Amino acid sequence: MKDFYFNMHNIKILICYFIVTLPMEHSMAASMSKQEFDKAVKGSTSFEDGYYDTKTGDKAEFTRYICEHWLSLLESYEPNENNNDPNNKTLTIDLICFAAENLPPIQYVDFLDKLLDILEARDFGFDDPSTLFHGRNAKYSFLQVNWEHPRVQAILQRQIKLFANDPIAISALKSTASGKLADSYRTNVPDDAPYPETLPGIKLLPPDGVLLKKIRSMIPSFTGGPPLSAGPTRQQRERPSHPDDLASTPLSGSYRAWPWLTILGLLGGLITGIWKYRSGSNRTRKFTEADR
Amino acid sequence: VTNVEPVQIMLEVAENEIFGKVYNFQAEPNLAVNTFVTYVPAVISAEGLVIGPNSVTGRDRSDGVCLTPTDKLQANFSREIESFTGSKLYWQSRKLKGDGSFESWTTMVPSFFDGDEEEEVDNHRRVDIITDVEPGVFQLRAVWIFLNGSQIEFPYVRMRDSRSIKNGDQIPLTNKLLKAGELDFFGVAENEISFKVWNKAKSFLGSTRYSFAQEVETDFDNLFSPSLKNCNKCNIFVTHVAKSVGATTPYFYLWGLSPHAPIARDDWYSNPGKHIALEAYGWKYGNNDIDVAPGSVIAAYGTGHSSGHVCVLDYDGSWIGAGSKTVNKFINLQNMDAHYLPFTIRKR
Repeated sequence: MKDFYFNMHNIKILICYFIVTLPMEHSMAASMSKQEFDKAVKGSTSFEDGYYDTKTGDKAEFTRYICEHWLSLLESYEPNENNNDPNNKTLTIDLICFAAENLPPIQYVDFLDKLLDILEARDFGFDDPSTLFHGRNAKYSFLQVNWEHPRVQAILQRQIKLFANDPIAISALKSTASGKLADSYRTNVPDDAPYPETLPGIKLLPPDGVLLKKIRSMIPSFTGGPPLSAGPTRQQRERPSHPDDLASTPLSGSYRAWPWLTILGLLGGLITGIWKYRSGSNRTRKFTEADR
Repeated sequence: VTNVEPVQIMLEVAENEIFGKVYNFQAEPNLAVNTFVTYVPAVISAEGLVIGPNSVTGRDRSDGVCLTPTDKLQANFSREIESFTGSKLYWQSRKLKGDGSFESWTTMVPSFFDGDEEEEVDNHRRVDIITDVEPGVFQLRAVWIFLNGSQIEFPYVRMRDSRSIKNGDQIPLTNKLLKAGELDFFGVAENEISFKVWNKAKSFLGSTRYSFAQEVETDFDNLFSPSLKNCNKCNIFVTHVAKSVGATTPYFYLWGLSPHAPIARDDWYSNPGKHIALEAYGWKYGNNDIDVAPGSVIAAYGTGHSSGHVCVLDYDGSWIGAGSKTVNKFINLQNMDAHYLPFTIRKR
């Protein structure tokens, strides 16, 4: 019985060790090395819709690496005409921008600022650099809905100067900067698409029913369209700002907090469990001894 | 004829400024029988013939050869080869499937609309062919077979780069399959209206009208249709193209925002459509293996927030679609990424 107890004790220690160490190892492995990242770049692909992937590495780690090193990646970026050749493939500016959409909103603004810095400093011979500022996934409609934020306004005004020779871009930028597109985030996206992310102090404008109300006021006989109450209410559409916006904390910190919180929770649960188990065992033993 | 000695064939492939890749071959039959020794530049060309009651006209082939099932395909070998006694020229085609592979090569049967029996009997001596076609996307080749069984294959190749074959990257990538010298195709639309859809879609190649930043009205015929700006417009491009030639697609009510929202990629992809039934408007769900034909609409479900794509199929298996900057045909069934899988095809 004693041997069995000690064996169980050892097994519990072993389990405890794995529970504590495995997430640590996992969190350490989550940081891709420079060599691994370079290899992942060779197998990377990106698409006009903003989707990207890598065939030689984990996409989440690849994204994390870009989000952690976006500044140095932007500063060292060099255009490569031979990206068709897998052996000579380098990281494209498009892919950096797509991955950077995973940054928290404030840091994404930092990213756009830096992107403007390098575009203003040098002509890279890009095909249409204004499209780099179009969020495709997590930051879809980001500039449109956050147009009132002073930093977003500054970015929009810098773009208007930089792309002065592109009338299509200028038209879109002016519409964005004047807030005309602030409620169009639900336009022509999949029904289940998430709402745009907002900066501190910015609330989403409700897009539903605006045009329909206008039509009904102009043509009383018009009965088309769904009932105005069919869509989500304004209250449902508003969402709090990203918690990370409250302070511009390093991305690695915000990403890595969860394993430690999990470990602490697990440890607490484990200690309580062991204490309860041992209390139960003692009671059993005492009962047996008393019984004898 | 039966005494002809085996011929020695020498083939060289050269680049020609006008024709791109040119196949030069030197044939030395038994010199005692035939002293003909020369280089013959062989170029395969193809053309669609529209045969009316009183006339035969050629289809516009500036952006590739595309026909309808009522048309005839005329394929030409650049030089006559009757001099090589006993040799025969066969024309073969093979159909592209949705997964980028091909059905096997099949020999094309000549059809003669002028009823010339003599020509029909001796058809394999002819170096050109006029033949009936069926819907699909096809590669074409001429196969010259000699008495000893040896043969040379002359593929139908692209004379020039196809238009708008670059993607939307800042340093754009080019789809090399669509460059001069690569294998070319001829396409046969399901019917006249699909042909018109293809014809309209390819007329936008290179256009920035449906770019991400561009402002576009969703429905030109509706006073209250909203103008969209700063959003993906591949579905609007397909909607406008289809509507402009009479292959109308329905609009629907989206979140109450727009009384005339164009159907989305999901509607093309799903069966039945997510918002509205496309079948009722004549857009039938196709089979990816057998319904690859120009003018059909191809939709990929995609992954991510705004991803997925909807395009019009080109005569060569490319996807003509509105990208972030231009309407382009960078994606091709033969070398596309898994990102565009799975996809579905709808046809009129």
